[in-house]
Parts: sequence; structure tokens; C-alpha cells
Amino acid sequence: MWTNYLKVALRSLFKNKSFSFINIFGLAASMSVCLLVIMLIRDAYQFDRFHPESDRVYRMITDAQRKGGGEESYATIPLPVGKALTEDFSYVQSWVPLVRRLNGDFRYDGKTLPVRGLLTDGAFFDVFGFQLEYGNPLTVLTEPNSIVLTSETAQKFFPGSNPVGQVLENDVLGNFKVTGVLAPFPGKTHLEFEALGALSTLTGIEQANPELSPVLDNWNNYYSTYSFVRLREGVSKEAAEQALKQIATDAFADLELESRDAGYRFRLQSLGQITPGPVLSNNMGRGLPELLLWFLGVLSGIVILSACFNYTNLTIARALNRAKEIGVRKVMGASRWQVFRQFISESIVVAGIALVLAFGLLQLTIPLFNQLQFLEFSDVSLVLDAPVAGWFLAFAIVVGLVAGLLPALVLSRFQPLAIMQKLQNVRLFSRIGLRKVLLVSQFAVSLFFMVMLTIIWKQVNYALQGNFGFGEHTLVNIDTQDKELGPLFAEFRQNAHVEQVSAVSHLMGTWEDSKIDVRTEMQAEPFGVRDYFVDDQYLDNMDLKLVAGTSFPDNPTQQRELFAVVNPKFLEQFKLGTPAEAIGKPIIIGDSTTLTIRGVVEDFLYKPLNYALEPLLLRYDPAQWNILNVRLKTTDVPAAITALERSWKRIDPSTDLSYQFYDETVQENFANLYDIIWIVAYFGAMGILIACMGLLGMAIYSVETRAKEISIRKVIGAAPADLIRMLSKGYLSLLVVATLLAVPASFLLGSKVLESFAFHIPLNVLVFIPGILVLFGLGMLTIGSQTVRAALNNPANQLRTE
Amino acid sequence: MIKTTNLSKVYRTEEVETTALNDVDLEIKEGEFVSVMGPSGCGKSTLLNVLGMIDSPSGGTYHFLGEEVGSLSERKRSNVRKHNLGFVFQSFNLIDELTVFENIELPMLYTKVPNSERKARVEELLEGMNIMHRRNHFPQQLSGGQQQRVAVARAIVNRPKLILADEPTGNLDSANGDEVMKILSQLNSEGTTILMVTHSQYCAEFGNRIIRMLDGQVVTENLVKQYL
Repeated sequence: MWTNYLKVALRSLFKNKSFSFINIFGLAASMSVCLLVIMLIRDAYQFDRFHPESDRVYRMITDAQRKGGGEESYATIPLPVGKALTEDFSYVQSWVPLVRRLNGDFRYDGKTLPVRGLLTDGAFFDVFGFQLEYGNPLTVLTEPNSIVLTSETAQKFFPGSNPVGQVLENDVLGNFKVTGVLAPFPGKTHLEFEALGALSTLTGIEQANPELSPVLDNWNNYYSTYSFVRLREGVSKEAAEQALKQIATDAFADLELESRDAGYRFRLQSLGQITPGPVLSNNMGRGLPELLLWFLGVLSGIVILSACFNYTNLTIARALNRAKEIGVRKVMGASRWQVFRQFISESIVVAGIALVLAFGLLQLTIPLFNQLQFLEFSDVSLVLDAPVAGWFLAFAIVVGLVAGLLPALVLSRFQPLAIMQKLQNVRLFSRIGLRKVLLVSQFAVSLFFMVMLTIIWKQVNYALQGNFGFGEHTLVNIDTQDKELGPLFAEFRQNAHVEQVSAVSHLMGTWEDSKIDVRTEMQAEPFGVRDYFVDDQYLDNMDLKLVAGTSFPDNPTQQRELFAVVNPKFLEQFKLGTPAEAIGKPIIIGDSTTLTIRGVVEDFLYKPLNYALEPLLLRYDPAQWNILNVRLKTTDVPAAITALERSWKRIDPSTDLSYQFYDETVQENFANLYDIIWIVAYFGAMGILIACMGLLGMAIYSVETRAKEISIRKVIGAAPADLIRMLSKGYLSLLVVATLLAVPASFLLGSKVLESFAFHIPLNVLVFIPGILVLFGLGMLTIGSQTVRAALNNPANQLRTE
Repeated sequence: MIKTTNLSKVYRTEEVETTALNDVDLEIKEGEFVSVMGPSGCGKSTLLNVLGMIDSPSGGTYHFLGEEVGSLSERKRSNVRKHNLGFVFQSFNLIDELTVFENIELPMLYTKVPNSERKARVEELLEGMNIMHRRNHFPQQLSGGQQQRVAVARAIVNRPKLILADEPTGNLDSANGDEVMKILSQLNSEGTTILMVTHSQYCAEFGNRIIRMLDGQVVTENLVKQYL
């Protein structure tokens, strides 16, 4: 029987070439999009799959409740909380603390390399599935100043040899003895590190660096350390969370919290739900956020549903051609279920053929997608292996089932009596309404895509053109790489290509952020203000104008922070009067540091355009400067860069200059957004293509079924133009309805999107026109291709056939 | 084999009610070849549909092989149909996507006849109908007469007890028509009961009894001359 179904399916497809093409190509195009998303999603879920008993492993996370209401979730937790849960309760089998305090330049035998590492203890090797190539997991992290290197890091420092016993030097953290080397990771992990140091080293580091916020016994530091636990068998997550609740109540009862916080809630997050997972502050590692995966999943779902609509639409529309066959089969004794099964298997065959074609299309799109920055940034790659192929097959079957369900239901309901009567007299079904609804939805969704795309694209362009006024194209930002600043300043300032040099903690105009609580008197409620640490040259170098007072004095050796420069928004927020009146007034930052307002700089944009203009606090603390802003005075950029590289080498021959032009940095703000625009554009283009193919199918069908009417009308005097108008009118009205649905919907969502940008483009008619023109242009072209042909046909041919 | 009592069929639309069959009492014995005649719209085809169990009666009773089948569900009717009835249509109704062989084989797929037996039976029929050389052709590649022979072969491949033929020669020239009628006569002489609707007196006389209908009622029943 199945052979019979397959034969009929293939012969029927071959016989109706145009419809088969529309169905198969439409499904293939949309399936290729979905296959891409399947690969993305599958790869995105490959993180942390190699750890033993991972169903009992959790990351402890913090919900910090703010005084002003609301809360912020952190991937980090105070170290003592993890310790308390482990020691005071019987729920935890193993606890792994991870502290990000092993960062810096390490030196061996004259070779200096930056290393980012974590401090932890032996439990790390018990809870996680990392294996050691050299060293004993029970002892490698016992002694203070022990270090375990990843195989890549070991290769960089000690190519081709076993480094156990060797010593790496670090000027700030001290010397570390290599006690082990990790084997290459068995899979992807969200844990980011190039080395693991013994946690017992931390006491010494904290004593030697009093400026660091301590973590070991600090219940208030919920932003520096990670804690992972493996619960004992049989212990529920809820029970452990209840214990965390008790810890939060007991331990914090008498503690003074951070000034902006009202309390903390600690939770457990399953290891399998970290990447992909919710966006948390201080999240470690890369991977795609869950939200983006949902977004892509929904987009591809819309595209594939649209293609399924086409299949459903065309199959039902052409049911008349199959009625005879169904009637005969039923008269011969076929049950409804057997006919249903036949049509479902037919649609699965179509989906299978489409899958083969989609696979071909996928090979063309994979290289394009692999170029997208956000994939590289997220450590996600498009890999085709056996499980993925299995998913593809399953997906094709599901598509076949979805696309074929309605036609199979409708066709299997045919009564065999139809065969005994004239087919033309049989009222098959009145699905015209349904088909129109499907077509209108396809076009409405496509137009919606196009308008949203136009809005986002225009906004991103607007944001990029939004000039910060720093003269970004002649500014080169150089990473100080923790070098001593005095010699760096001196070296760059005497460079002939350099006009001016200033220093800053982190870059303005980017997503990098820092906030500190500010108040004007101790009793007042603090307000978080964005702060940057700048030097005395910064305002001048950035071309920022003071409206009152002066900039910071040049005093790189000062022991205590004294002054602040603020903007008028700051004065407004804290009711400090006019700029002139504010000069000399004190403000309190953090818990108790008092600064004197020394200058007021004019209001200027210092964050990407989705941020409103807010209060700004400029501070002076040389220890916080990480970046030098070097203003070039030459137009010969390559020569200037070579000169800067030479200057850097004179300071440190063992490392390279790390720099970026300011305008490139600003552009990178929106690089991921550009990628998303490309993806949405790709999905949108597929959506439009599929909708047009659906329209083409309906137009072919309509012209076919009305061929006799068209010929008679021609014979009695209708001009081609009359006929084209007559045939197109119905479809044109569908496009109008689709427009009427899509425009308000995209207006509403577009306004919401633009509201998230403090500075945005106006949402006017110009945003909608390109999409509408494309929709009507392609729509009319599709309909026209059929109607014009029909209108120009020789009526005698048709009537003779009749 | 067939016995109907007060069999009626009424079609209703919002505005009109049409009585297609009006209290038809009819009995057909096994081995008979009955021809039904009458003007267009008299209810011949409706009678054939109801007796062929592809339409249900509005009233009365219909016994087939001693069992009341007028009120059976579609599923049960389908089951009775595929094991006992064969259909021949005026417009052949072959499936365009299947070859001659596959068209004839089709009813046996629904009665789950094993593959080897299917092949043997189809080949026997192809031989008997003299269309073996056309076995791999598609219907549209055949002449009308050949198509109807395929249709007859398909109708009898499951060895039905009753063949229902609706104007089987209506689309054929006289030579091909004759050919088909001879095949039906042959089948009848081998024991198959046949009920045929026809407009042609000539064809009707191939049977042994002629029923004439008018306005949904059987008005006369006559034995064909040679059986008088």
C-alpha cells in the first residue's frame, strides 16, 4: 500500500510541475532557515554537558533587592554564603568557590603573557568534568601559589614540555608554581579561564592589595565570587533554597548592606540552565542568551508556518483534481483513515524532497552566517553531525504532518458518491475564506517584518551617526595593560604624531558602565550616578567645554580622591543650583568619601543613544586609569600607528600595543545589532518570497479555473486590460487588507522599540512606505505574470479544448 | 441477493425537496443480470448508488445477502462494498497516476490480498481482456474501449458477488460497447449478478430482466424476450 501511495505522490508531483515547484521550493526555502536555527539552537545547548552528575550541580546566584524597588540578579554570591550552606547544613556534597582574582601578566623565562584565571580549590575537579593531563586533582590546588594551566596556556609558556614544577612570575600576585596542566576540554563550557590558582593564595593577595574589596569573609561582596554546589543525592533544590533563605535572614540581620540595597535573596540555578540561560549581571562565559534563541525560533516558526500555509492552500485549492481519485479509492473500499494516511504521507514525501533541497540551500547560507560577529562572540558554531541530521529528519516529518494535516482531513472526508455524479456539480467545500485569511496573514507578517526592519535599520544608522563630539576619528584608545603610567605618558607625549594624551577608566560612548551612589548629605537617600575616572587632560583632549570652574589639577601622586567634575544634569538631580553656585560644594560618594565640585562640564552624550542624558560624575584617581586616549595630529595614520607601536615597545618589548580607533569602538556598540538586522532581513526576505509563491500558486489556480470564462469574455469584447483588472482585483484587495493589519501592528511595536532609545528617529510615514512599495510591487508582479498571460491568450484555443 | 421494501431517497436543499426514489420495492436474485432504464432524472443512478452502498436511503429497508444494510455506518458499508461489490462507470474513472496494472490491482490492496496473488489475478485479467500489452501504460494512453475494459477488470478483480454498472457503454462507440457488453454477459454466465443502468435498449437486452423507472418509482418489470 505504501508503495502505491509513494507512486501516486511522486507521479502527481511530476504531473503538476508548477504547483509542485511552488510547494517544494517554498518549503525548502523556509526549511533552510529552520535548519539553520536548529543548528544554532543545538549548538547553543552544548555547553557544560560533560560534567558528572550535573543534574545535582547548581550555581548559587543573588537577587539584590534595591531600596527604590525592583531587583537585579547576579551570577555571583558572597563567598561566606556558599561556605555557610556547605558547613551549616547537610545538603551539599561539594562546594566549588570561584574567585576572579588571578588576572594579570605572567612571566616565564623572559616571556610575558596576559592570563585570566580563577582561584578555586580541589573540589573543582570533583564537581566539574575537567581532566588533568599532568598533576593529581586532589593536591594540585592545595598549596598557596599553586597554579594549574589549561593546555593552551601551558603550550604558550612551555611549548612541547611538561611544565609541572616551573614557576610563573607576576608582579602583583607573586610567584606561582605550576602543579598541573588540564587536558583539552571535553566540550564547551561557560566557565572562562586560562589558569586555576589555589584559593588559599587569596589571603595573601588580599593582605598585599588592600585596595581590593575583600571576598573571603565579606558577606556584602555579592559581585566578585561564584559558588557552585553539588547537592547530596535525594536533596531537593527547594530544600537547599530554603536553607539559603534562612542564611539570608540570619547572617544579614545585623549587617549594614550596600547603601542602595534593601536585601538579598539567594537561589540555585541548575548548571544546565546557565548557558543558554537568563541574562544575569556578572555572568561568566559566552553563549547565546535564551531570549535570542526564542526570538530566532519564533521567527523561523513564522517562516515555516507560512510555507506550510502555502502547501495547505494549494493542496486544498486543487482538491478537485484529486476528487476523482479519492472517490474511486473509496468506492473500491478505502476507509477515511486510509485516504487520510495517503495524503499525510504525500505531504511528508514533499517535505522530504524539500529537505534535500533545503540542505543544498543551507550549504550556501552557512558560510554567510559563520561570518556574523555575534556567533563568534557567543562561541556558537554551525556544526552538522549525526544528531543534527536526526533533528533535520524529525523536523521534515513534523513539517509534512503540519502542512498535510488540513488537506488530509478535508480530502479524506470526500463522499464516494461524488464519483458517481458530475464532479463539477459537487460542492467540495467552501474554503475560499480560509485561503484568503492564510494569504492575508502571510502578507501582513511579511510587511510587518519589512517595516520593523526599516525602523531598526534607520535607528541603528541614526545611532551610529549620532556624533559624540569627541573627534573620534583622530583618537586612538590604548590599553595600558597595567603598565606604569608615568613612562607611558612621557613616551607618547613626545611622539611626533601625537597631539595630546589623556587617561580614563573606561570608554565613554560604549556599553561599559560604572555607577556609584551619590548624596549631598549623610542622611539623604543615595542616587546612583555614572562615574568615570579621568585625568587633568581629559576634558581638553575630548573637546569638552567647562561651563564653570576648572578641570582636575595635575597630581598623579595624590593619595586621596578630592575633587569632582559634574554636568548640569547632576546639579539638577541634587539641586545644587547654577554651575557657578555649585563650585566648591561637597558631595558624598559611596559610603563616606566626600568630594568637592571643582568644575561643571556642559551636558554631552556619553553613552550610546539608547541612554537618556543623565547625571555624570567625573573623578580623579590614577589607580583607576586603564586606557590612554591618544589624539593624533597627522593624517598619515599607518605611520602614526607604527610610531605608537615603537613607543610602546620602548616601554615593554615583551608585549604588543593594544589599540583601537575610537570611531571603530563606537561602531562596535551596534555590531551585534547589525547582525540581528541581517538575520531579520534574511527571515523577512524568505517570508516575502514564500508569501509571493503562495500568491503565485493561487493566481495560477484562479486563472486555470477561470480559463473558459476569460475566453468567453474575450470573445464578447473584453479588452486585455479589463481582464487583467478583473483577475487582479481580488488579490489587490487582499494586499490592501494585509497592509491595514501590518501597519498598525508594526507602528505599535516600532514605537515600543524606539522608546528604548532615548534619542531616536521619528516614526513617520517614510518608515512604512518602502515596505508597502515592496509588498505591492512584488504582489502585483506575481499576479500580473499570470493574469497578463491569461488575458493575452487566444480564446479559440481554450474554447476548442472545452 | 437484494431485497428493498419501500426504499426512498429524498434530497433536500433550503428551497426544494426532491424525491429521487419513491417507495421502491425490488428483488434481485443471485445470478440475475438486471438492466434499469428510464428517462434522465428518473432515479436510476440514485437507485444504483443506494444499492451500491455509496449513498444511504432516506426510508424503507434494504437487505443485501439477507442483512439489512440501509442503516449501516459508512465504515461498515465500506467493508461490505469492498468484499462484495464491483463498480463500472460510464466515464471509466481510472486513476490517472496509476498504470493499467496498478489500477486493476488497487481494490486488492484494500482487501489485503497477498502480493503474489495480486500479480497472478491481474495478469489473468489482463490476458482475458486482451490488454496485457498495455499493462504499463497510463489511462490517458489508452482508447476508450481499452479504458473501459481496464475498469471492468478492476471491478471484478476481487471476485465480487454483484457488479453495478452505470451506463458502461455510454462513452464508447458501438464496437467497443459491444465488447464490454459481451464481457459483462460472460461474467453473468459465470455466476456474477449484474445490475446495470443504461439508456440503450440494445444493451439492456443483454440482461435477463429490464426494470423501467419514472419519477423515482419502478413502473414496469419485464423479462427480456429470450427469457419469456
